[in-house]
Amino acid sequence: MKSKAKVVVVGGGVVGVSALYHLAKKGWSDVVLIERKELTSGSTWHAAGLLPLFNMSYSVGQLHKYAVNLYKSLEEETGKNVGFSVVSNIRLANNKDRMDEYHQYAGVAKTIGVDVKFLTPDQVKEIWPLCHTDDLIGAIQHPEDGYIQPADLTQALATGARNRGAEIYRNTTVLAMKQNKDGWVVETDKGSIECEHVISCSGNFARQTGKMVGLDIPVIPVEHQYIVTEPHPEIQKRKKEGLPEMGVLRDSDSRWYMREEAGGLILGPYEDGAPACYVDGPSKESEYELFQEDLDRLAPHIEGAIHRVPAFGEVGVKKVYNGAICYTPDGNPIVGPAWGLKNFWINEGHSFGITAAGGAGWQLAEWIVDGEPTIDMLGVEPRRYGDYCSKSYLKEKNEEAYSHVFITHFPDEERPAARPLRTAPCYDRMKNLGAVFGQKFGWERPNFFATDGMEQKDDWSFRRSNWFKAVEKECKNVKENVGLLDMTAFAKCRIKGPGAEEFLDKLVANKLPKKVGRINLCHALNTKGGVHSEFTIMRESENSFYLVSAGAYQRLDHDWIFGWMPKDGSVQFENLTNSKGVLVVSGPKARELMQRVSNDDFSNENFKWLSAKQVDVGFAPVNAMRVNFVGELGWELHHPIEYQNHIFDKLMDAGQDLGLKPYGIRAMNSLRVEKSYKLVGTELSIEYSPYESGLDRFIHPNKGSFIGLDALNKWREKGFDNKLVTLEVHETSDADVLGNNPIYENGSVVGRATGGDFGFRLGKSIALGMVKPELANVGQKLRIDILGKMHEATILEESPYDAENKLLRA
Amino acid sequence: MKILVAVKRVIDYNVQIRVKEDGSGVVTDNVKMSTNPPDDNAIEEAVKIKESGKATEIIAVTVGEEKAQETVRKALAVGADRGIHVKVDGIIEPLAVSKILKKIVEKENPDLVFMGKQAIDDDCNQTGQMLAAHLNWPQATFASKIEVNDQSLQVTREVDEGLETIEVNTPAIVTCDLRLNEPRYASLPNIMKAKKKTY
Repeated sequence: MKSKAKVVVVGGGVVGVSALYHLAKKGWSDVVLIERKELTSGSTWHAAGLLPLFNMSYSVGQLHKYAVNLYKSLEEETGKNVGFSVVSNIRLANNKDRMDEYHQYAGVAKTIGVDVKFLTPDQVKEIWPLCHTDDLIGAIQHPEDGYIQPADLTQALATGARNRGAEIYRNTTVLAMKQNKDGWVVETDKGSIECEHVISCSGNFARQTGKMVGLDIPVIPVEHQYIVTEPHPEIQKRKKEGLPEMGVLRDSDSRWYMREEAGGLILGPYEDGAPACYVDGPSKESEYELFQEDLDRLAPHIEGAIHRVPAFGEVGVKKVYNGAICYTPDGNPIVGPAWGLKNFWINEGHSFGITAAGGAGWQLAEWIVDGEPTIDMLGVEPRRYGDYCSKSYLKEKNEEAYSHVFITHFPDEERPAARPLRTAPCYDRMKNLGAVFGQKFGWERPNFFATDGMEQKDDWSFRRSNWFKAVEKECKNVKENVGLLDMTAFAKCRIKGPGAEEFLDKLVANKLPKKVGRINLCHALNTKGGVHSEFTIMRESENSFYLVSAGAYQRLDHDWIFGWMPKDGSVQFENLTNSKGVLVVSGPKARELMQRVSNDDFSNENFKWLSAKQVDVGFAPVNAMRVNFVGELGWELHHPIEYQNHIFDKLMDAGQDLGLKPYGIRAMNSLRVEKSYKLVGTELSIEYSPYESGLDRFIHPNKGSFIGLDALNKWREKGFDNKLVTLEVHETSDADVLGNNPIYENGSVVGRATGGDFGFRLGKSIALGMVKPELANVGQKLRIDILGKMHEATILEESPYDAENKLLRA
Repeated sequence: MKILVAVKRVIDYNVQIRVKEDGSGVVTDNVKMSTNPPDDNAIEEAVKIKESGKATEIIAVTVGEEKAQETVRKALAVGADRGIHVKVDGIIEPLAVSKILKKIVEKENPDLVFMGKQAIDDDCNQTGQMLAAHLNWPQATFASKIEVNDQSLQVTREVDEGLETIEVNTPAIVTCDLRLNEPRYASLPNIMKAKKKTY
């Protein structure tokens, strides 16, 4: 065994071997993989080998697409057959919501270049004659996917890696991992290896591996069963006649997949009540392990399968596999750098490991070798979770994620398990005012307010739902009176010290606020010039800055800061997220409201837009910041969290006759698209330069060096492929742009929507989207697909509501 | 003719057996369990005999913990008519099992008792022989072929030297070898029906 290597990959399932393969392919041949037992002996060996391209996420979709293409070329490269059966895959729909979901997904597919077709029930019958189609309304087909032999795939990737110099040590157990200077020492039962990077690909052992380095990796596996039948005469007859395999069938509404296997069928249901397993890790000796089957909990799905494909019930069950599959709270894997640790990488939590392994390995190799991934990885980013992910939380949420695999993925879905968990002090008050909550980063946030006898309950849909009217009222009240929004979930921190200014100036592309009490919106670029994070930065004093960023990205943003921060003590970082609450007042009557609750001066002359002041609200100390995300006069009131209800009550009392009403996140989204305000994760991404995202006025390439500047300059010389535009979508009736909708000109895709909503102040359906720069002109007519229906759209000038920001400055 | 078939729940043959950390036994928690494989042959043979019209009723019986009923239900799913589960917690050995089976035989009066030649967990290979002694019935062990005649059976046995064919009078005990037949798989509707059956 080597005693030194550039990278040590821990774990020899398909995920680890793919990471090894991609590092070697990228030119790093001095890489090794350590496997406790034999390759694939954890979960890979019992995987059903399906390669579903279907995924609602833009990032995961791209990883899957890459993998399917890679697997097709592996045999030619390695000489090893991977058993890839390109038999296509059909997803059935028996209701309108499901068809909406497929149409929304088809948009994602088109924008990332994945081929999909819609089928009628008759066309399904033609391909799958054993399928009962009378009660279907349609289906979506991926002609390009199918299934693969997971063990053969792993061996082919291993061969490809070995051919490039990588080494694999089987029957070797990692005992400990320790940081040394710039890298790691991995201690095994066969000796130690010094290395620069470690990648954790340990599957069911993820939490145990994490523990070795002090990380709480939010992965707990869940049991998944699939049933294999003996051959069916009808299928054998088809084979004899030389007919093609019928392909992978998915009945989303009955929640299962089915495919042919050796003349019989395989059925894999995603049922309720599947328990988490290996909660405290598998046994050290665990290898090729299966659990006791439990057909009882599959009963409704088995009945559904027999209804759909009667042949399935006509033959005997050869074997039931019940094995562990890793899960995370949202069901997507965890791929990327660990937080707080240098050169430790996580590639864990894969529930669709066979499909995702290729893309995950590809992007990790890019990230490790070149310093950044090449696609937006937010959907699988390890730092999308926080330390609220306790073991009990994971157990509950991961079981939920498993049972939600086939649930209709509504864009406004809010999953119920393990809630409420983190609540702002005003939670109960908001609830009493009718709040219907959503959850972000563990925090409960009002999404909208049910008023006038409306049921205090969400009604998810791809179209305008019950909350549409409520949101309209909230938006109009913000426009006409004044609204109150709870943004306690914001990520907040303080950067201070003699080196704070110099450090932050390097971190962000905008100039820092010069004067104490001034606020600038600043963006941190990654080293390739893409947009990584957005911070509202307020200068508290000469050497102290207060930073606010999106609540969902607390760990990501703070880890980014931490990673770049000088370690010589000249800069200190203090996380204030949990100690500060934020209430936002916005609307034309916001000033009057503030003057009623405070003795401080809120006049325009003495409290200008983009400035902050320490004031009293009632008896409570408040840092009032004159900014907001909705384009009206207003203040964000940042306060020590224990004063929140005092402030809340003062505002509500004083604001009664001003029409003060609470509003929620959904109203905020509608209000922000009318202002063309961007969000990280949609309009802002590492895939886009800040110029493409329309951040020109926040980027100062001449201010001096900052992270990403060189790359950004080179990017600019090369030219940009996209430009963010604001569009009015015409003739909408019951649905608006949700994001990822393809944008067309003359029948070809010229861009993708990043977000959208109905704008109640403008009375228009608005979309934000990336289009080719040559088309990004005000007045340009384009077409945009909403749930399978084409709409005319016209590019508007940026910030169609109050383009000159008169209201903000009033 | 009535056939009683004894079945046992054991750790699945694919599972890699692990010894408990304290050395007191093997790990069984959430380990995949199934019917002892030669017991499946015993059930299959009984079902075949019934299908040929020579038997009228098959009773599956097991002795063991609560979950051992899965084994009985599996037998019901492939064609047994009734099941008996004698609930016993903890480890139980062949002598005790054979005594329990004797009592059941006395109550049910079967013409034949089938079971696997041995269980793959403890490999004892004793229960059938002991039961024959308790009942003072003829026995045919390691059966790889069974022909049912009026008052007797012609049984081909797998022995060290090769095959041996013997004739036993009924009632008799037969322990079955894996070569006896190819057990059928139960279809899902039958499995689900068997799960709901009370017995």
